[in-house]
Amino acid sequence: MTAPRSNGAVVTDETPTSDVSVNFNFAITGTGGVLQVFQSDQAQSITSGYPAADDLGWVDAVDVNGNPPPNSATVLGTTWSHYGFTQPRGTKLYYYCRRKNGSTIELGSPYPVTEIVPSQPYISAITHNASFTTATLASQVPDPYTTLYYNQSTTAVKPVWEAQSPTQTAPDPSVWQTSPTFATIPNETYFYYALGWTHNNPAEDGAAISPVASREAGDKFGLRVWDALNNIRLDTTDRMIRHHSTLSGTITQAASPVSLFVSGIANDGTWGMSNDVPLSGDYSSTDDVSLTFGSTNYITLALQHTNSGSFNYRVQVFRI
Amino acid sequence: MAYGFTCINESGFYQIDGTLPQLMEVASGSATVSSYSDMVSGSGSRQQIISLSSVFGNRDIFIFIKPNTESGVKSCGVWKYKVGSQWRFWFWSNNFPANETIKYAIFVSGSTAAANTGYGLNVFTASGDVGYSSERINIRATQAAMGVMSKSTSVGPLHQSSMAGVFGLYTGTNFVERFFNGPSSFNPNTDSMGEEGYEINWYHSHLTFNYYAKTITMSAGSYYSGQTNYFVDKGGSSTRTLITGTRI
Repeated sequence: MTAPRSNGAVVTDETPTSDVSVNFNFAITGTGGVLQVFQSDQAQSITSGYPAADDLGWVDAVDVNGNPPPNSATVLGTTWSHYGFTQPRGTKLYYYCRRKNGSTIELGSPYPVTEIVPSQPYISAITHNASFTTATLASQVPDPYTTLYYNQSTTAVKPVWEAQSPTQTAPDPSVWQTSPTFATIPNETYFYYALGWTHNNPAEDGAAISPVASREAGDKFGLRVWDALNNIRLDTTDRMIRHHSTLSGTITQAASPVSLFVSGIANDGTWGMSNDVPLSGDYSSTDDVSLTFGSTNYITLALQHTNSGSFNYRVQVFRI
Repeated sequence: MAYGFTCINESGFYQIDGTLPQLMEVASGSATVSSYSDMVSGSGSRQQIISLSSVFGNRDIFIFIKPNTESGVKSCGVWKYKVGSQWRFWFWSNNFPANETIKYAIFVSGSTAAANTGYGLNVFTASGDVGYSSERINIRATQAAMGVMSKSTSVGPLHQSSMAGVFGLYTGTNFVERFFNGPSSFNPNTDSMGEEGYEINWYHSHLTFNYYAKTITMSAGSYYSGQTNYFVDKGGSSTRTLITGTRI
């Protein structure tokens, strides 16, 4: 047998905010037996005996259409990708490969391939100095792998944020900076992004961009309200939760999916939506209805299985 | 805005928007947390069912929860259901310490009821709902995110600069997915799940409070698996919202 050789694990779409799909890529798929792949949160050396040969986590490698790879002992003209792994944001996972023919095993390289997926950043506050000549962003991520970068612009256009090649090891320094503080001109309106970045080798670095936040470098906004005992009931930094709307109806097999109009809804950190328990009180009656973003201003409801029948739905929409 | 009063905070987020109503707290307290099996079977010494006044029987309700003891890593789910015109709640977990309780705060959407003690601020929307009242209990939001949740994907984690007093809004149903890991060609009338090595899993949603990492996550755990009773797949991935904040 000829051992497989990977040229890295790559996130296929950096836009999801929670879990991302990961392709396990190969420059050489190897020959003999079957190419198998393994995902783990443990780093093992090639001489350790782990992952164990009979571990049920080993799966046959397949492409996006479920087809096995071509057998090749030399470098392929085009990278071949195993499809099917997902990885949560803010984690480091390890990917192993091998060829297996009965009890004969040829381990692949690198052993293992590492993929670090950055956490999704959000801008939680923008504060100015007293003269409004600087703005400082607040953003935190929970993992030790993600490095945060920041961008300030006078236009709302999203800057280039994903790695442009496997050799790029940091965001473009002409666009992104590690300091969360920017110089501002008083009374000018600015748009801000935070970028989570993780370094991967081989293959492209990981990137996750925040929703945009905008702020005028001007008079302080906000309202402060005290109660009779001098306690602050509302402060200038508070974000309050408001209930936007409730959408309800019935979805049937014949009329699925259903698009519902919600003016302005976006996944920008200021909207929320969720299937809720209908007022009839059947706690399980919405569990076969999926809720997703549709086109602009629409959300989409769909029955998840052909055996679902019809269901009452009740969708709650929030602003935050 | 054609009516009322809009106020935006220092970071550009809304405090009061003049159009949308504020949530109103209608109940709060502490409750014991059942095990998942006790919730399903309706038994167990730690069961505690919270009943909301039937005055709110025709209202949408929103439940914020947090562990009373703010340490370690604890997950908790909410079973929200109705008996007649009365909402009831049952809190459940498989990793909640037996001698600890969960704090809950239950809110309803739009309401015209506003306190007026002659101090503070009341703002009404054009429809007469309370847009903001400083005399109401409020949730001061710290983080918010939407995401797709399924048996293998979660919403968050949302990182908090401090976990002290931070609640999470439990949205959606507690059931997420019932998943059979065998092939679609499996015939329960002629094949045995046990002999074939297949199983069926029930996934339910819970909020996980991690006081080491200072994070709150909404995810779905496998709370039951079996190799004897076959059921068709049910549920799956769907968008949910996680909002965290402090009660003020």
